[in-house]
Amino acid sequence: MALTLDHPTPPEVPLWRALTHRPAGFAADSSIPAIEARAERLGGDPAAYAPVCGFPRVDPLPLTWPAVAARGLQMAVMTHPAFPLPVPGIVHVRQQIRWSRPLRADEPLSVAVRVEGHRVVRLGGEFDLHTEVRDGGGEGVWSAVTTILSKAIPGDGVKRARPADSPFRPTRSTRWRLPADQGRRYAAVSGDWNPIHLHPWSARLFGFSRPIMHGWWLLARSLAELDDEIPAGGTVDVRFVSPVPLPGTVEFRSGPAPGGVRFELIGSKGPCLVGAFG
Amino acid sequence: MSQKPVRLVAVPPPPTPARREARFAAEGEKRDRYHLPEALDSGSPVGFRTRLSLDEAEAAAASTLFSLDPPTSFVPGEAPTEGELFEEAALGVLSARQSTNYRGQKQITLGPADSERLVPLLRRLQGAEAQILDGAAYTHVGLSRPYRTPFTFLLTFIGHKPVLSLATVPARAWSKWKHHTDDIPTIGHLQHLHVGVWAEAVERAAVLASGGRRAANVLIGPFAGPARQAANAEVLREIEALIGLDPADRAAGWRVALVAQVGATAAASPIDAPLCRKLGALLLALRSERIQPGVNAEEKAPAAYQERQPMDVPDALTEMAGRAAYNAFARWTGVDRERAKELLLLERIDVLTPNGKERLRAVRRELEEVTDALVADLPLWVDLPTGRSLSRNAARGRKAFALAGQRIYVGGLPFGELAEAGLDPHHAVRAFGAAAARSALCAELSGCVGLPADCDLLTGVCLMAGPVNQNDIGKQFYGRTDLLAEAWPGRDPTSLLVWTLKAKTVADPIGNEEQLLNRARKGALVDLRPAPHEVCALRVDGRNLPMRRRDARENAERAFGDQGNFVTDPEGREIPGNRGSAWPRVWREELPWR
Repeated sequence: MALTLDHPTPPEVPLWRALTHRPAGFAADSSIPAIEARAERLGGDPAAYAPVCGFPRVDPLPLTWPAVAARGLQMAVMTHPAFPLPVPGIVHVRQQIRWSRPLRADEPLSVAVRVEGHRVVRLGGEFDLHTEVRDGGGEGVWSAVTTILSKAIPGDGVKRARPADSPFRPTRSTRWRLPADQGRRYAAVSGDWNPIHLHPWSARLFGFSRPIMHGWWLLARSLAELDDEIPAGGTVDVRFVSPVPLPGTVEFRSGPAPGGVRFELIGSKGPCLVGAFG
Repeated sequence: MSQKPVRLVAVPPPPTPARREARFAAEGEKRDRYHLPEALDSGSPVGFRTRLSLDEAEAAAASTLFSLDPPTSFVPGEAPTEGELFEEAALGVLSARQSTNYRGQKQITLGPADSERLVPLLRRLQGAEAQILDGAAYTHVGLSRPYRTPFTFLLTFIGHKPVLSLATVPARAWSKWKHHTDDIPTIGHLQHLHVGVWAEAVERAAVLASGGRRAANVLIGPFAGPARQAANAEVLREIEALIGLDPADRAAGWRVALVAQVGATAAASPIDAPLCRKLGALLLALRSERIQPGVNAEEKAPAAYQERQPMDVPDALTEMAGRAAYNAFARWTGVDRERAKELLLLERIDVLTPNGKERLRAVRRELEEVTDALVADLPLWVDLPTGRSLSRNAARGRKAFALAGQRIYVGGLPFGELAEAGLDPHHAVRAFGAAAARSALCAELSGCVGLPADCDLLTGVCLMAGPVNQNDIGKQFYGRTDLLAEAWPGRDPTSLLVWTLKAKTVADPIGNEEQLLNRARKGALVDLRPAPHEVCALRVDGRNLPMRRRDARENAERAFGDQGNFVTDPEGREIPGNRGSAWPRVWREELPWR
């Protein structure tokens, strides 16, 4: 049975609802049911969002903007009574975005978010949140797969081999200093007020000694840095390897790699984010 | 013709050239100045760069930079992009300094409409050394303030008796703070020398950043010195209003020091666009080279610094460096070139000759004695509470005053004769700074002609005010004579700068440069190389917009970075953050005054 939630625009889901969402529980032989939320229009204020992430313009829309604008739908899905996992403690581990053309700031766009099923991995269970944006003609122009790890699902402890990242010669190498309030600044424009990103005391409540930067911001800032190297249509794949504590400094570097461009963020203890354009 | 052609003189490399070969410190190894920096976290357009080799044709074209004449008219041309303005600033105010680095300059750039408003004001100024042109695409207005660093702080305590100074030091400090009074004359000159260095750089920068399409008409004369400033006071206030200089800036000592009208020219540049980019990247690689391998290297320095290299600065190069200086002095003062040669006093010391050796020893001895006296006389009441940091600082200068090089120029001016030549002394000091910078650049670029792949450079230069300041302390407080007194008896010369030319293939450690770029390793006597937004502004719609600070972003681009001359370790690994990252294209290609 698929559940479908329709909204005129992505709804605002308050933080308390995410924090107090009490799922029924995850039975060993069950999985995440199909839940879909749709909105007729992608709302939000990209003009406030773009400068916080360093995007030099809002038209065409920043590549990550549809995901941020659709965040209310994602939260609606994950806080639905049928969704069997708690939202606190989930970890954004991978992200893929595909787009067929740049999106104009003034064009009508509809959006749908869908989840179904999961995979057992070493540390828990992973599930994919699919976000799809269609233009006024109903054509799919942008889609994203957000892969999330939940430790509420028991992991199998099996370490799986991952293809090695191909080496690249950087053509960009720069350091970003992230101030202590960077998480709060991003939260104000994205609506993601997850306490682990905000203050040392609020992060400590969830097991982090320091607040950590939003993965979505790290991706957005990386794409903003790459600017005109981003093709008019394509795919970007990103792995979030380790959190970036605030305040902190990371090195961004990028360069041509077979089939596209590779980029990565390096913190004091090694890679934090690894990505590539295809 | 007020300027003579200057050519770059190739320096033959030795049979077995050595290189710096700096590497990253291994894990657990204590890092020192001979290692590569761990990272670069800076908005400066410079970065750690390497020199690029020039072939003979490129050297011939580049040598035209040493005898640029001011443009006589502007023609309509393309409006400048933000990216061009950035690269021009990178070669100008953002890097136009040598080892004595202080944040005493900033620049406000006016668009075409404000440039037009400025023209009648400039025409009312007295003392302009070039004609004022119509039709500038934009105009840089340069501001300068008195030179103040920890070194000048130290000077507050020099020349006082231990007890008496309790009263006189605060009085002197007050006068310095409120009235910008200098302890010794050459400290006051530093501000003006830097303006001259900057003026030179702006003239070249306009050509190189535009790919040879534009030229700069630079004026320094009307703004130099109290006499000119008093004569032009009313116009200067109007210029200050036009650029939006606020009272707080004026109180901090900021004054208009330079105006550069920039516009398209009809004459084709002998330097084509690709060579402009290469020279732009190369100029950003030039640094003060203090070490002569096998002469003044520290004991702990790697082997490459310890071995004498069988090479010498050619006589012809030294001569061209001198010619470049005379050219610049004539250009910036407007005096005839022969008169410039009489007024610009250049004592040449050829260190590898017996006479040169003896002369160098005498100079060293004299400076050493001044240092000894200075350290001995520092009031204990200030030196002890600061952990003897002042006397240690003074003593640290000994190494710099040792003047390591194969050919040395000690330059100065006969102040008593300047009025006769119709020159304002402050204007002459600025022209002198320009002359020294052009001379040094001639030697530095010569050291890149036919640069083999296995060399860092072939000649290097260190342009220093330190020995002259030390000599001035000796003159002011210990009854010494000027460094140039022996060479020009009876002319009352005042030495202003020293530059040492070195033939070598091993560049100085990057640790020396790191003081300029790394916030964490800020040097005691130097300031950090600024990011564009810290010293450059574009005046748009009556507001001064900081260059390259926009929304949450600040510059991370290295100018002329497409030339790829970034320092690596022997395995080709780069310093994290050194390469930088290009400013977004949509912003780079914007026309600020559409």
